[in-house]
Amino acid sequence: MNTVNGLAPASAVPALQVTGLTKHFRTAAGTVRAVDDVSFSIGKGEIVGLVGESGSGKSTVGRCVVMLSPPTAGSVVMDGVEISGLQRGAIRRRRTGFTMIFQDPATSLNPRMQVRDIVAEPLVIHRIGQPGERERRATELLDLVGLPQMAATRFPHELSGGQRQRVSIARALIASPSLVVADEPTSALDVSIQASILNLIKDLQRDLGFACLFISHDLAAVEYVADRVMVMYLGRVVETIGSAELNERAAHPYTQALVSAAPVPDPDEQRSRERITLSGDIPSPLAPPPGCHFHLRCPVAMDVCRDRSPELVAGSGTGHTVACHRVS
Amino acid sequence: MTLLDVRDLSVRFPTKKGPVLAVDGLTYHVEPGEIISLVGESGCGKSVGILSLLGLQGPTARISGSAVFDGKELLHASEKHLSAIRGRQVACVFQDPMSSLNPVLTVGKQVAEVLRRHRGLSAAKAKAQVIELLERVGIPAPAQRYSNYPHEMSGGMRQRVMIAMAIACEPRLLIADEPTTALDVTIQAGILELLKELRRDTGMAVLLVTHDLGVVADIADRVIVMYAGRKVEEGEVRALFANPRHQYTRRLMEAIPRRGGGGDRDRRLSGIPGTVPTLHESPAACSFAGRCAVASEQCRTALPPFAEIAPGQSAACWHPGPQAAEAVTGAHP
Repeated sequence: MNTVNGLAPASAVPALQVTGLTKHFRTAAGTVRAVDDVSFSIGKGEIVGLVGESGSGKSTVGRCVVMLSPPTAGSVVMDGVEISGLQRGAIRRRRTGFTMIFQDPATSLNPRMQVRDIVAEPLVIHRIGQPGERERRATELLDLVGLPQMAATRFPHELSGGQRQRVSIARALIASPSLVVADEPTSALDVSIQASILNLIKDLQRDLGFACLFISHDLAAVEYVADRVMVMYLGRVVETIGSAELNERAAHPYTQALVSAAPVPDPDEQRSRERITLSGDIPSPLAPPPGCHFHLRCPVAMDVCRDRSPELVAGSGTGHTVACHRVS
Repeated sequence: MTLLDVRDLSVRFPTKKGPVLAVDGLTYHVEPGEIISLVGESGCGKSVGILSLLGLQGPTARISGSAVFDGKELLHASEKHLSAIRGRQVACVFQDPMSSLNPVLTVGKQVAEVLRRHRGLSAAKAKAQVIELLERVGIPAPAQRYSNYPHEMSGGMRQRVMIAMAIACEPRLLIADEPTTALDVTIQAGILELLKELRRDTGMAVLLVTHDLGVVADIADRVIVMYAGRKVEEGEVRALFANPRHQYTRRLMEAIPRRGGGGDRDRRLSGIPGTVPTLHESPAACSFAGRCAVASEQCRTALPPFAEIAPGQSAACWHPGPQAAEAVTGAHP
């Protein structure tokens, strides 16, 4: 099991504690090891970014955390209560405590419902409040996410992409969750809209104090909203680092490659940067390589990397952990 | 000699709610060996502005204007003339290689088809060349990969196959429509390197359509910024990034999160309020006026001319940003 040192922030009980999370999918071609022994915690009121490329397992981690996809093994403890072992009904009763914002609001909002009803639906399902109160609360939330009053009686298709994502955010927050998992919430949006949504998530988090797992492939977006960044590669967490340190102090060769590959919007800087080029593609999670999952593409791999999987150990600085034989 | 000269290109699509003006009077040119980037957000007309040149827009598109490639007019050219140019002198790479490749043919056969069709090579000769091409675009073990089907390859490898197919006849112009948008950043970096290398080695020009300003900063020589079907700014890449003049370009640059400075809770991005208008008629005003913080009466009543503002940089804006040290720092908030 991975050792996680110095990860839990100041508050005694973290909003989320994930230990040894593993998720396998059985397919005709074999078992896909989407998530492989992942441990981390998110403090109350903390935003943790989860980055990685396609197939890294980052979305699966998010779905397991909110029990949309029950983990194969491992425990998920929310506010001190283990939810991974609970029956479906018990999880359902606790659903207001942890919610999710999806990438594409066009497919995650019911096209036949009016915006106000979409936003109020979690209260209806969990029988919270009277109809009048629910409506008032929905109106409040729409206002909070910056939608005009007239949006309340519109249908999703009458709104723009950015407005629809605001509706998803209002719905996710209406029952005052302690944890929000946002899975690529801005990836389907244009940059001019993305900026407003990132600001909104940042502002709401500051005002309402929920903890947030912010999943994205976009390093710059993650750095902008998150306090800490967790990097996944082929089902495992390879590094966790404060987002202020990501640029300069990333220690894992994969994190370094990822940082160097993400282009910066400045021609002079971009053209003079040192680039770490990775050979090959991310291997299939059907048959991950032995040892360190990254060793096939790693520019500094050693013999030991082929045989033994590196443990996540403390790096430099608080909350910095790295899983790399070069570092430990 | 200018390789591609597009003048006053307009493209309309009929819809149930009347014709939509996707591209409105677009003028641009590409010189041999140049990498030009068309940037803008969804619906700005950047893709339509290049695909309509090759008759790839479908029969409902109403196209007017002129597009001269290598001295010959492309618009309203016969299908025979176009198909002689497409694939041979001008080649295309699209965003999603999976939907551009034939799933029931091996990738080798698909690349070979280009050579056999345009160059009349024999099957054996074509195969040898395809293996060379696959190697050229950085596909490991090309002889084995020749008999792979598209589904047996990763997204990055498939895009390399598309590029191999596109460069098979050594085109003089490569049109790349969001070629790396569906790919991971570590794979994207390799594809951009490959495009730069091909330009260097073969002198091919590249017309790159993208929404990603990071990609533009990496690869483009010259940039064309589009908004609501029109070209709003054009300039040499360094000048344009250091000193964006059109208010839309300026706001766009301020809206992108930049690397570094993570963990700073007080850092603010500024989004652009409102949405891009859908145009039915060519407007007699600046299309960005409704979202622009400094718009004046003039912006709402008169179309700003596209004019040179600094050497090598032009914009269509009544209130272009200043050229000053302030503007330079504005690009690095």
